[in-house]
Amino acid sequence: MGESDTHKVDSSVAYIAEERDAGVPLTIRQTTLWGDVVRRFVRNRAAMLGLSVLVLMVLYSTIGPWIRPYGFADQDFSIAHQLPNAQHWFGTDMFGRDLFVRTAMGGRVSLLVAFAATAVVLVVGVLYGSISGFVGGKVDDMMMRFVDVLYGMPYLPFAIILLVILGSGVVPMLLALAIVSWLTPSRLVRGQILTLKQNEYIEAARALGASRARVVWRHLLPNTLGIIVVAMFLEVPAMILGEAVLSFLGLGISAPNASWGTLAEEGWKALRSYPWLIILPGLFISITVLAFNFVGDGFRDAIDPRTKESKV
Amino acid sequence: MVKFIVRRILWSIPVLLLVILFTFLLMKAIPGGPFTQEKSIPAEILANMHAKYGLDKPWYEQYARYVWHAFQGDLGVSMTQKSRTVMDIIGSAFPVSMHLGVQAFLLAILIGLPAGIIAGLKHNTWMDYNAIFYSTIGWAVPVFITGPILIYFFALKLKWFPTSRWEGPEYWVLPTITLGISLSAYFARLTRGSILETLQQDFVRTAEAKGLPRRLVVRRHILRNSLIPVVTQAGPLLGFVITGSFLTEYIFAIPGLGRHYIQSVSNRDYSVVMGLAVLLSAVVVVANLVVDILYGYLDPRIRYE
Repeated sequence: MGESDTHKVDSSVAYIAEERDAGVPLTIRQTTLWGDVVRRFVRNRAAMLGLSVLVLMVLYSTIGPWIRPYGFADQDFSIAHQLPNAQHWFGTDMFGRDLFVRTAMGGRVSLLVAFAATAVVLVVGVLYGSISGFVGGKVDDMMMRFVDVLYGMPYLPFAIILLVILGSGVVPMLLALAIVSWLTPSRLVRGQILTLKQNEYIEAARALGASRARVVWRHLLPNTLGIIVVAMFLEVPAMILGEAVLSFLGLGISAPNASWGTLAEEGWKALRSYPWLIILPGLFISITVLAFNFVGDGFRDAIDPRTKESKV
Repeated sequence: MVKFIVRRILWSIPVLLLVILFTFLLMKAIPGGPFTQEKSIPAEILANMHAKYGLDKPWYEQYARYVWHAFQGDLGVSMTQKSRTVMDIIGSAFPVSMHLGVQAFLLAILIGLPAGIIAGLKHNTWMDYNAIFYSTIGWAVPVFITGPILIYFFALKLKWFPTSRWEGPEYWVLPTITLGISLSAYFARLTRGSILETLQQDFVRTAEAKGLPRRLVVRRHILRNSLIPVVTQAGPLLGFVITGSFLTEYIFAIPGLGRHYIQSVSNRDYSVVMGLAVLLSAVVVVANLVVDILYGYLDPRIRYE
């Protein structure tokens, strides 16, 4: 971390003797919580690799369709079913559509749906969980019982029913995924709030006359930010998989639009003769999911080093 | 303990009723009635059909009626295959799904548990790294990719196994592996994490400090305590199994619950969809109940919560 960070601190004073400083007199440097997090994260090779892959994925999905001279729905049967070559870097599908462009467009849809659904889930989860945890008592009981009941409804069957109700397309897909996924984050946030509520500084803030809203906003939520960020990085890949599953079953994004799941479905239908068509979207889904996992794990370890499994 | 079990069982009854209620209301929210077809039906006939199926009554009466019949084992009649009741379909599909699920589960335990245990005990060695690699890949590559790849190589190219259906042992192999791999990855991950956590407990240090042989420490102190979280995670795991088996059944054309469910959704056979959704929910509720009771049995602290 840079020197510029060192002056805006108060929360923690850390004594850091970096390995590279060995031999130099021990320096005392102030660091912020987030400065520490960034420093630990950057040191984690798997996490940094994951992050670079994610940046590449986002870049590819954004500009991919523009750097090749093909439209994502341009059909040309004379060039159908090509393997990767100089003209078509990822080959072509059964209609002769360029797969480099189509996979990038699929990435846009898949990533967009996953990010948007995660955002919805986190907002709902944080609101629900923090209200339940903070208010406590009967309200908490009722709210958690409700979550318990919804836990009795299995994920996929209900996502399918919701899609039938909402119709197909990007927004219905996003809503369906969000509606079946907000339970776990809200439980997580509630648990964290309950633990934090016991701390003395909350009592102190209350004794000083802080309003409920202020206690929640200034003291409780910032301290749950860590687990929320981690939850986000673990939720996004689950959403990517969820979207892909539903689209693969033919219930999600439909032609000529495509997501990685739709591409996998098209590949599945052509499996007998053209296995490349399912391997390609499979690679993109798997690599992205992996990368998110690495980044999520890296964040968790960086935010709370205690969870990092030390050498035993 | 008995009080704890009774309380849990009593609690799962309202849960089940509410789950059925939510499912019921969701099904009502699907645009178009069950008799909506391309050609419109005369209003009188429609009214008669609604009356026959009790659809002219207010929703809460329909719900009460549905629950009453459901508890007597009557989930209605399929709307596209008039001769079959929903119970008939469940009767033929449930054993198939169960068979696939149990086989995949056994395979997953056989691979995942040892992999997780070894990875945890031999933390930060090559064995650990291999296990992590396996479980991460197994989790990241979804069933609908592994399935087709297995079909391509082992059914289409090598012709060792059939590509689809569920008619004998040679048909069982690929679907079981497809579902089993993804489950075993989950198990390995869970077990490893749990072992690592237990390793840091004070009682493990105490056991080692008093000079117990490593073998005993592992067996009595580490393994026993590590397996509790693995058992309690079986609830979410079931959701995972359902999703996985839906896909596996779809890919391999296995006549189980998942395939019927997907087919009924596309045929708009809503009585079957509703029946299967209720059944799956009931399975989840019962599984959560069993897990809770097991948890209370394994970890007495839970009972007094």
